[in-house]
Amino acid sequence: MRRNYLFLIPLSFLLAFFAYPVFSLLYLGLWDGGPNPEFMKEAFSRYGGVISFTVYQAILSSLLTLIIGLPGAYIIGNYDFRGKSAIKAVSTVPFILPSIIVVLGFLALFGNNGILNHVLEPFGIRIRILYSLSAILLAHAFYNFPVVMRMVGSAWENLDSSYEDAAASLGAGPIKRFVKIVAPLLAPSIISSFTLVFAYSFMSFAIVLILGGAAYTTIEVEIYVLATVLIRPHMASALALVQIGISLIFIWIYTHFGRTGASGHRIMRKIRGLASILAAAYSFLIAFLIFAPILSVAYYSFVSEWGGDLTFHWYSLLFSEDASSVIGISPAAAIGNSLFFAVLTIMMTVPMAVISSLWAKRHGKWVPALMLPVAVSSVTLAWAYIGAFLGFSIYGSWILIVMAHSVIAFPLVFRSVYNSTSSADERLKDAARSLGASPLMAFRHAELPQLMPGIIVGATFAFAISIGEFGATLLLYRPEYTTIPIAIYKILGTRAFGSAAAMSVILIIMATASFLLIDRIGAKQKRSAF
Amino acid sequence: MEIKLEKIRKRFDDSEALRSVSLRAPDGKMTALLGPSGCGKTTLLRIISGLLRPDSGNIFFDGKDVTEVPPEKRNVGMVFQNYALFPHMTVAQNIGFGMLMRKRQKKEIEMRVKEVMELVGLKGYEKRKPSELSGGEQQRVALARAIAPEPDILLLDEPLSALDAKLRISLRSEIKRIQKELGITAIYVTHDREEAMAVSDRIAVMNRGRIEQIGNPMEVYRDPKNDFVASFLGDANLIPSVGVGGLAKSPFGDVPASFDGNGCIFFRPGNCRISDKGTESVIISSEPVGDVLRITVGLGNEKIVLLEKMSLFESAAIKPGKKVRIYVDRKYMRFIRCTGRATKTF
Repeated sequence: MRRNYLFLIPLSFLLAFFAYPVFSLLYLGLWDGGPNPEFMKEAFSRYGGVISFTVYQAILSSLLTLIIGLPGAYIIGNYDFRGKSAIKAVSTVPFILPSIIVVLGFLALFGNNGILNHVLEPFGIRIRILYSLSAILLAHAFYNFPVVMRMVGSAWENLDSSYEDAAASLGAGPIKRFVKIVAPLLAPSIISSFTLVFAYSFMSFAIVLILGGAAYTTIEVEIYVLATVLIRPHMASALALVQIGISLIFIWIYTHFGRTGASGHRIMRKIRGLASILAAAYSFLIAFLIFAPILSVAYYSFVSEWGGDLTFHWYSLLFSEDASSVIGISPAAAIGNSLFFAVLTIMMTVPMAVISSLWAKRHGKWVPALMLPVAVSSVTLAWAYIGAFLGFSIYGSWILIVMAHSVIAFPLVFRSVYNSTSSADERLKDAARSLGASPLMAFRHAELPQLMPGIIVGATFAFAISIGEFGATLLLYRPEYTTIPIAIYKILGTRAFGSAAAMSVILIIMATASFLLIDRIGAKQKRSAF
Repeated sequence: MEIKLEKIRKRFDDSEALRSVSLRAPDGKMTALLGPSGCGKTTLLRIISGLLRPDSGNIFFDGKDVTEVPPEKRNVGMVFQNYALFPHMTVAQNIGFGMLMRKRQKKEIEMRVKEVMELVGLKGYEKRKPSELSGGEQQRVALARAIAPEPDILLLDEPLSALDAKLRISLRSEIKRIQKELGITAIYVTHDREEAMAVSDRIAVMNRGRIEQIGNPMEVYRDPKNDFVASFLGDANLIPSVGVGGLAKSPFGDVPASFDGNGCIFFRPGNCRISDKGTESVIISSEPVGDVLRITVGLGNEKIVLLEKMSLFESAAIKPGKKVRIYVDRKYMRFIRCTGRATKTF
């Protein structure tokens, strides 16, 4: 069929910009004029500590994330109350927030000169958690707790109440019902979210690089250092292979033990009494975790110092000659670059995700293969690009950056679109054909509208990932391709926190505006029938 | 164990689910709660089980007030509409769950599980997971799980509604057999009148949060209290009439009336036939239903449906517009109250 040929487009994209670079990593990591196991040996001996620390901090981060996220999952899964949908909506914010903003928010709130320290100073309390393991864990938990809240919460929401009713009628009290029925039935979703958070924390780069300081480094940071500072390509590749290997183990656990559960009818309780107080307290904590860092960043961008007067100093400084020399290009150009990459990433990934989804609908067993790029961290991918494309003319060009962003975004965009194809009604297309529509018209009018919600979500993901992407861009960019996150990182290096904050505010505003725009375009698409 | 409900009321947000329901379910008998969806029958069952608490009213098990007793302490067995088999447990674990919760010995549980599985005809299915069973098998597991801990009361919430028609008929007689064998007091919720008549010793017909009538199956079928009960239990001819001085007039002769004022004359389609001594009417339409012909005739402004066993030759003579005489057996005619809530069957 003609559609099968269309699949060659995403296939060749993935082969050229994912499979081939990963293959070149294998070559560099295992081969030096012949098979050479020395690099792998060194990876496990010399970098054994780094590897185990990376796994250790990822497990601790995931546990902490579970502790923060599970109460939210309980509230979402059991109660109906006003503002529930608002909490759910707000909880997506950290998920699409660029990691560099998380870092900045963390500095602004918990930093030695941060808001909390200033607020608590009169009480004699001083928070010193920067450049420590706790800083990394807290930042990861903040970044990821919505994953737990939403995944486990939605599994809980769909856990049929009749199981607990049946257990009650068979003599099980509330505690036994939880231990014997609820917990085992939620286990797959808890495992799913745990492994997902583990993967994010395991591959996290910006947070560890900046908040971990010199004392705490992970595989990601070491690959970055080996690739750019020490220039040891074989070692960087060997470590990258370790990264991919460990990720694959966790992805295997995710696909084998995790499941989002069947949907059943759950009777929601009205919130009242002690539960409502606890829920309110928790909602407040969520709101604080999500908004306090962002608002702190905004605060520092508008004052000269803590308690200082309102000023636009940092913003005007941003557009001065000095700033341009720090960043390498003008901030306006950096904004332009970020938008350019983000739009291209959407244009690359969305059509390919649609083609792949329609193809995967008939070849379901290949879905995990299409999701494989999630096993490769952004730093590893970028390093693989350097190894794979060094001699080619696209090396050093903006094309590689777009390709890296697209490969990183592809699994999520594909997943979003694929979810809506599996719920789409095949018969609508048949009905359109029987009414005289050509295959293309049937696709346009009967099939595409059903995929629209998934496409919108996918486009939002693509945009969010590209505009916030840090690790891969840091390895691949040249000064003229500096993006906003890179610019923020560079300004941060000069300790001009106010300007970094101002740049972050610009990034947040741009991202928010773009999400609203994507949403509007999607809504318009749905409204216009012809 | 006898169940007694006294003035049970239950409100949900915007609707009154139960409006002062009182009911007595005799010991060792199967009582059906029959009614259309939304009539409150499942709510009533959940209140008996303890899964739901009434806003007011009391529940007595053998005279003991259990209104405040939580479900896990009531010793009732319940079969759910979607079975609610624990998906993470095997068939044997599902059936043994109730006894495990009652802290019985392991040996005892194993023996009882075996015994119950034999009773419901599931021998050899111990190690299966619910997802590996057919609908009928799942239903048997659900029943076995409910009766395994030897509950005082068995509650069945539309236990057969998820199965196809043939399986429903064979399983309902099996449920009846098992209930008789155990001699357990049972409540059976259903919206299927045929099922209710087949399984139960008593039927409580419910509508809009009230019990309209309670009686044995033939009683409610033959002597419905009003047009709703009459039409819910089967096809019913209902002709408006007025009771005056103990009599109500009908085209087929006078009927004794237990009350004065507006009401309707009721009889089943099976109780009228074409006959020379009958009342003149006009055939409107006819359709074959298996062996019988279902004929609709017009009589003044009223439509009447009758069922007639006929040969092919005779049925060829039944044509719209043709005049026929209709006779109704006086013995089966009743003058009943008219609520205007009859379910239209034709």
